[in-house]
Amino acid sequence: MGTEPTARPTDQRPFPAVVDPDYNDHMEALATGRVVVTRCRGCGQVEWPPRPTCRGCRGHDFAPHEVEGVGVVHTFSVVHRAFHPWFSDKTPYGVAIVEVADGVRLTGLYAGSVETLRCGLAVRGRGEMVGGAPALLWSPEEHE
Amino acid sequence: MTGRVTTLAEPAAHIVGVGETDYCRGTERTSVQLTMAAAFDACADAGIAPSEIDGVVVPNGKVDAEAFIHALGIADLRFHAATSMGGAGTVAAIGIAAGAVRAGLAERVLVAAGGTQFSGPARLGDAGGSGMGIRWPGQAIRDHLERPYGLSVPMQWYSLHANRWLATTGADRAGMREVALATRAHAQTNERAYFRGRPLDRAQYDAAPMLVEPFRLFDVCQESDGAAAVVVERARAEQQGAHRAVRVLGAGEGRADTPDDLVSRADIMQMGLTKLAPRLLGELGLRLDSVDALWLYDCFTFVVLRQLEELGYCARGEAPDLVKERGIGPGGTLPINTHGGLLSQAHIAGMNHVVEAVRQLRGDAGPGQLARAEIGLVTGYGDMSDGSLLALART
Repeated sequence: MGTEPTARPTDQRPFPAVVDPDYNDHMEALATGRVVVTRCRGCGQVEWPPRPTCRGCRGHDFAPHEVEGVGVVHTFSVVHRAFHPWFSDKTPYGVAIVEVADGVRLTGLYAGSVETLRCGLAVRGRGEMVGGAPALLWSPEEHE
Repeated sequence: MTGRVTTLAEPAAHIVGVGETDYCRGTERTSVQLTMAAAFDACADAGIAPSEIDGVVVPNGKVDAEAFIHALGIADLRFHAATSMGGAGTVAAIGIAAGAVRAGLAERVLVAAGGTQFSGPARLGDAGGSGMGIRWPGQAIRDHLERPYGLSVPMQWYSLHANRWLATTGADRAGMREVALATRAHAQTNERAYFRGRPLDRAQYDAAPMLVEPFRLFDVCQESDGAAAVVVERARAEQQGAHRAVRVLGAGEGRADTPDDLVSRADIMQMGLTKLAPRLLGELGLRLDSVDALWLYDCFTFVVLRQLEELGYCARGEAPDLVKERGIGPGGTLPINTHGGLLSQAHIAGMNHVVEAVRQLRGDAGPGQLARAEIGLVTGYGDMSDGSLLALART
């Protein structure tokens, strides 16, 4: 019934045992500090999360597209009750949904204090290895 | 009384029988055994032999058609369907059953939901964050972009919707407490409610732990063991069971844009119901001021408030004020979830909402019977905001 083909030990951060090919470029970029999404080679439409068919031109050929990790918190969560053991000693933890250029929204861990997490907050993102797996981290912009 | 409904389709479908098991947390019975017990109960209520069922619709396909054939002794099952809309699937299944009997695909269709959500292997708290062992729509999105960030269960996903709603509409979060207290108050008059005898007050609600902002413990529904079922038929010449039939005015389903992903949805507050409610109510010519009571899918208190808004009762952000002004608990002028709902009766995937709506419209709901119950609406809500809606009328 589990969603992972081969379960990682539950004391590690949850992450797919086998990364879906559609997400490979995104995960590899995060590991080196960059943020990459997918864009249609045919019409330039950015599709994120990745989709098999482009909504702009019905094409099937996508290329990695780097985005600048700056944006505004569209919505968020602050979790007090963890459901995965790796998060148990990290509560309360914040998760930010950030709108960047092209209307793309990117989910990541919030690196600031959870009390400061709110809709409309200007944030800057970076890729980083967290708990042995690539992650996107959002921090409040310095001038905030 | 149906004079206000202008476009009734003939032949109409009716719910002619309802059945339920006891609702509990802890059982030795299996999901199939519970489901069949509810099915037998519904057939008895309809005044038919279980073998007379010739169609089954199973929300989320939780029990195989073969199991119904075996247990009910069905000689020739003519029709079978399953839904895939999470908590919206039960009410959507009633719509499929109604369409099937109206089209003549089957004579008597059973719709049954429930199981061992508490005692079975897929309990939320034991899931290790894998989403309760259920395969969700957009599973790759869940696995790659949410679960690694600690978002792995519905209360966490739906908090993204709730926090945007609170931040952009100025909705009063006290409305969520209003819903929790009202459903618990309703449950006190329902002998079938798990939380009967355990009232909830404002101080207890406020003192309960925050699970994920903005949801405290009593904003989140329980997990239950039990099952419920209904029998759907075309119009009968005469009453067969102990009760009059309840007419299905209409039923339908709807999905939001990017229905497998809340995060990238242009309008994160858009729900299946946003499209479905004006479509179905418009087709039926049914006005909200004709509706006497509502049974709204209440996996979370905030989902009740959001559905009121998307149904058209008020603007976004105003449902907390509406429920306070009208009163949705006992004695209120906008009765909602008179059985206690998922929050305070049991989580039977919303089939308990359908059963209670039918009882209220028949006039045999027991101590919680409403003084006026001629037209009612029942909703389902599931997955990433899928919606379903059922309009019922007394005959």
